[in-house]
Amino acid sequence: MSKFKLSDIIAGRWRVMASAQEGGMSEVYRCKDMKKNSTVALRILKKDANLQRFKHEATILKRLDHPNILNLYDFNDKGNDVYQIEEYLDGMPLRESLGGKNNFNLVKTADIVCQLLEGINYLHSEGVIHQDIKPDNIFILPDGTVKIIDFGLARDSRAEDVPWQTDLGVHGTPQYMAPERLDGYPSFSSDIYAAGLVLYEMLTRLNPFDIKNHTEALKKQRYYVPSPPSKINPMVPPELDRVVLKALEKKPSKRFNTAREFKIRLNSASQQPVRTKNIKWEFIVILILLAVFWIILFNLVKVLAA
Amino acid sequence: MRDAVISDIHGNYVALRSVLKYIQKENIDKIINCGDIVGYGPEPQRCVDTIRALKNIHSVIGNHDWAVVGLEDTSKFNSDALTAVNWTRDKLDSESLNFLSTLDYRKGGSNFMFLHGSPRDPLDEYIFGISAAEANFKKLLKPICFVGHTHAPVVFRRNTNNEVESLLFYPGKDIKIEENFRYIINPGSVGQPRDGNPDSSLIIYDTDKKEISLKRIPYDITKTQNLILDAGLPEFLASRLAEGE
Ligand SMILES: Nc1ncnc2c1ncn2[C@@H]1O[C@H](COP(=O)(O)OP(=O)(O)OP(=O)(O)O)[C@@H](O)[C@H]1O
Repeated sequence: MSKFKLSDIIAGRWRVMASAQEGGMSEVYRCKDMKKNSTVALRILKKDANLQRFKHEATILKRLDHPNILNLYDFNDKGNDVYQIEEYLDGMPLRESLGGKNNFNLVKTADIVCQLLEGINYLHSEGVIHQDIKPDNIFILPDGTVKIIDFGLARDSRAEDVPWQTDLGVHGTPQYMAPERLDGYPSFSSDIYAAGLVLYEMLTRLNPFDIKNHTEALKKQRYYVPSPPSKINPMVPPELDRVVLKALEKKPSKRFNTAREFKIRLNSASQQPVRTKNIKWEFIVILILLAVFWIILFNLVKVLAA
Repeated sequence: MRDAVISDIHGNYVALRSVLKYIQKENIDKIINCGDIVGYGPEPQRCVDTIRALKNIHSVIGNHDWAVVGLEDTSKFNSDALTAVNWTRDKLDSESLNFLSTLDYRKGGSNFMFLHGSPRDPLDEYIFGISAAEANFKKLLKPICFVGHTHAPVVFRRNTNNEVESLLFYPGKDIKIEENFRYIINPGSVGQPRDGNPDSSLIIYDTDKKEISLKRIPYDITKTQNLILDAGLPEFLASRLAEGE
């Protein structure tokens, strides 16, 4: 049961325009900000959900400002309701479009991941490690803009521990966790690894490790070497294979040093001619040669006959 | 606060019951369990049920637990262990298998962490000697790390000059936890001690006094041995209990 219904007014300012979308810890409403006459998302913490985590997320998001990062306008923890007022995201998480049957498009894939890496690069320059980069936390707007969401696990390298993680338990999504994260060491490079896995998944529609829980991740993220994406999708150029596998190196020091470096290499690798284009090109050349040959032959026959 | 630290129950319910009886008397706030609830012993289901019923226990997964539920590479297991793993898998109901598979491999509190093997290899590495301890001190996320896996109680300490030593540790010889030092501490095994003393082993960690003490609890070894033989498990798994090795 959601807390508010259509056209309810929250805190005297936000009118509910659409029914709630349920998450694990929050309900998200599309609202109209009656003061500014704009559309926002109101994300309200569910009862018994982790308040510390929600606050932590808001604190980090509040100081960030980048076109590829979800924009947080306001945070309220006074009174009964704890909520974030965010930019409303039209569109869908990358996870959903990965599930669809749409054709593989190298240019589009590279564009999405390049934007993702721009966002990550900005985060890192601000000293923030996201720690939960995965297709569910990457929103694609209808105009193709990428927005990184969900900063509940993010770590501010300038601050102390993540306050609600002092239990030292293993937090995060095992399918996307870099080996050093599983050891308990936060590192900027872990976001690069996770972005590498997102790219892998976009290229192949598969996560290279079939992982169900953290213990399995401990084994597989550490020891399994993924096969090159082109083995699964022949449309992937070999240079791109190298880029993906470099991001997925087990040792952080062997990966790209920065998200920006990853982006630059991805950009150039995805602009290399793909094999299918070669085939088309060769096919045209053969057709032209055949035509020329035929014309010469035709003229020769005519000359001989004359 | 007083915590009890236990490890390597290994399906020995008779031993677990004696240890829990002792813990109950001791005014304990919580139990820290370093893994391997099952494997080897004849009553895995009862052990899992008992652990699940306790409110104040925090458990991590061990390599045998993982082998029973998961994909642990059992090529490193000896044949007795492997027989027991397969036998245990058949004996556990699906809820118990699910419980074991959802255990984390590392947990911790404000100044300590715990796991089964070692910080750098939480499931499989044995910290027997100084050199393994030295390497693992570098991977400590908190000043104290409780481990299990070797079935032998031991305390390794690293001082502020990064020198590592192994401390004498026996019942009656309590060890003070000192500020700025780091510790890797193994409580020994509840269900299959291997340090020459067949009694169950555990540690009481007094967080106010900053002190750990080792306790040895006798249990009815013959009873467990008979259950092992009745179950058709390898004879050696019964005989080693009396030797404590
Ligand atoms: N700013 C936003 N604009 C539009 N939709 C959003 C926004 N933020 C979240 N959503 C959607 O609302 C739903 C719930 O949000 P979200 O996943 O953030 O909830 P959560 O409880 O914080 O997360 P989780 O379920 O991962 O624990 C999701 O389907 C998400 O796509």
